[in-house]
Amino acid sequence: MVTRDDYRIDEKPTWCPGCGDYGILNALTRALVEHAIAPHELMIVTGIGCGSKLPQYMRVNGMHTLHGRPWPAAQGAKLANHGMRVMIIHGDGDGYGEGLGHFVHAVRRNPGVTEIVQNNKIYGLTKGQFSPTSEKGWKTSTSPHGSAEDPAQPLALAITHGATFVARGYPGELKHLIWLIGEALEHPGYALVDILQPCVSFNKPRTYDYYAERVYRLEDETGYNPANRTAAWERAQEWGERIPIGIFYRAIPGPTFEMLDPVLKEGAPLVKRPLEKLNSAQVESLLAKLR
Amino acid sequence: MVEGTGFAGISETPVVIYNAQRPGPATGLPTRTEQADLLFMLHASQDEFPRMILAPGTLEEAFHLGWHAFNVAERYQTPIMVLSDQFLADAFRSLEADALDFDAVEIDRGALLTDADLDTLTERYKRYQITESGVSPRALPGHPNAVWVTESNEHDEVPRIEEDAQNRIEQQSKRMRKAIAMTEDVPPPTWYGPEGAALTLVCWGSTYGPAREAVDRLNAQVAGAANLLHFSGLEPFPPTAETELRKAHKTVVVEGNYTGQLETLIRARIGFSVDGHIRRFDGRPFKPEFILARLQEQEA
Repeated sequence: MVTRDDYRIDEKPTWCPGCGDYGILNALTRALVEHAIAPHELMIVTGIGCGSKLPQYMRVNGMHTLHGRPWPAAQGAKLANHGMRVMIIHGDGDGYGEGLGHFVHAVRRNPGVTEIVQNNKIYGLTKGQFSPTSEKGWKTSTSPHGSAEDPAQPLALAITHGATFVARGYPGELKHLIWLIGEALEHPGYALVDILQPCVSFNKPRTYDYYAERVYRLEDETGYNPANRTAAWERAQEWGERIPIGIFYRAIPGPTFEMLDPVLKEGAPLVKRPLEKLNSAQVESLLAKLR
Repeated sequence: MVEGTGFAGISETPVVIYNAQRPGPATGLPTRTEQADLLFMLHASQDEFPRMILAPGTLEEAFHLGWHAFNVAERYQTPIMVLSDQFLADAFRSLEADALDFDAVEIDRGALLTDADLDTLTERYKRYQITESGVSPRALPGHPNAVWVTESNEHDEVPRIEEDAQNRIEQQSKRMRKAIAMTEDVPPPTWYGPEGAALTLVCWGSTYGPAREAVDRLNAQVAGAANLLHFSGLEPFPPTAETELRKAHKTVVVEGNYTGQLETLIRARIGFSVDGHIRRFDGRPFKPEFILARLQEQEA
């Protein structure tokens, strides 16, 4: 039986008091315990940013990579050992900024990877520059006259590129977030959970109070059907007086990227197979092709 | 690209990086050949970590250094570069079926812990354990007794992110210590042609073929006129290089770049100044005629 103690480690996060990342860490751990996933069965790949330090604050396998680059490592990990659960956890600057190209290509490959984005709409680790999800007109240290860019639309982008589980959570709604992460972990294909993460130090406009007044659950909306892709795409871009959280889109995924690989789809994961030199028959068959 | 190379360096991840050099900068001459990435591969990425550069001269050597590179990468848990070029990569040559010795191939996974090793582990697994050789036993993720986070930040043995000055000295020194043993696995420079020749051509990588033919033609004219010293291992700089170079009467480096990168490396590593050089950077491969014509010009 997996317990919360299995994930506990004696390490104090460098996060500011009140940071949304505490709630995300809490929800993640609880979801993992609820779904009986043990630390050694899981690999959490992160990028660079406050939130990407998360695997240091729990007992788990992790890979703390480079800014914007967790996707190549995570896809490599999944190909090397498709028997292991692989998650990507990183911020909006990492995932939707430098990592946006990796994100789009990863989504359309449908790897069996669960992605969590700690979306605080600001570069928090570097103390408050506008990020890819900052809203147009925001004044920050690098946009003193207001950001001139429209924010990226990651949820709509994921739906457009074939993701079959697209959700948004909020740590102020902890039980709901635990449920969402659990559903994402059980999804048999790529799953995205974007999380509204208040950054109490560097994003003053988007506070807990701001979100508390505006978020609503899609599950509570009469007539909302997460199987309707067009409706999901439209709802994914709703922002303002009302901000939706919950599962925007869910469909039965096709085979994952790793299961389409002819070498991987039969037999044990690569990492469990012995690495031996070619025998003479194999050498002969190789040479025969060259003759 | 180079940030990933550095990540492999600090996270001590075995990786083989293959570079078939073409003339640049940027897109340059994208379908042609040059040897101008040697110093780039030597320094690619921020800061310092041990690496090996292998530059095969022939198809046979490419075969053997290919598997050697993977073994060395796992033995030292650090990036190993195989430096080829467009000329070698696209070259066709007929080989006899037994020219490649498959029986000689060995697979060495280095200090890789097995499930059985991990089953009996009683203490917390330390991925970056300080050791005398600098190599720390490596587990693969998935065993309940070895749960850790591969770190791109500087880290302690466990590893935790750690910025303590003493820890930094210990971890950086541990990584750099691996370079000491790596000198044993770098191929030494090899001779072709008669001992004690009047002229020694010095080259690296794919220039071996045309330089060898130039040497043959010179010796056909005057016996004992020329020989060849070829480098297929460039980093760590082979320990025998100085002794071998000092055996030569007159050294001329033949290489495919503007600034003379092997010449620079020889001077930097062992303080040896060569007598002359033949360089080519027009995107075309060396030919024996080109080398012989330049030698004649230089003598005139």
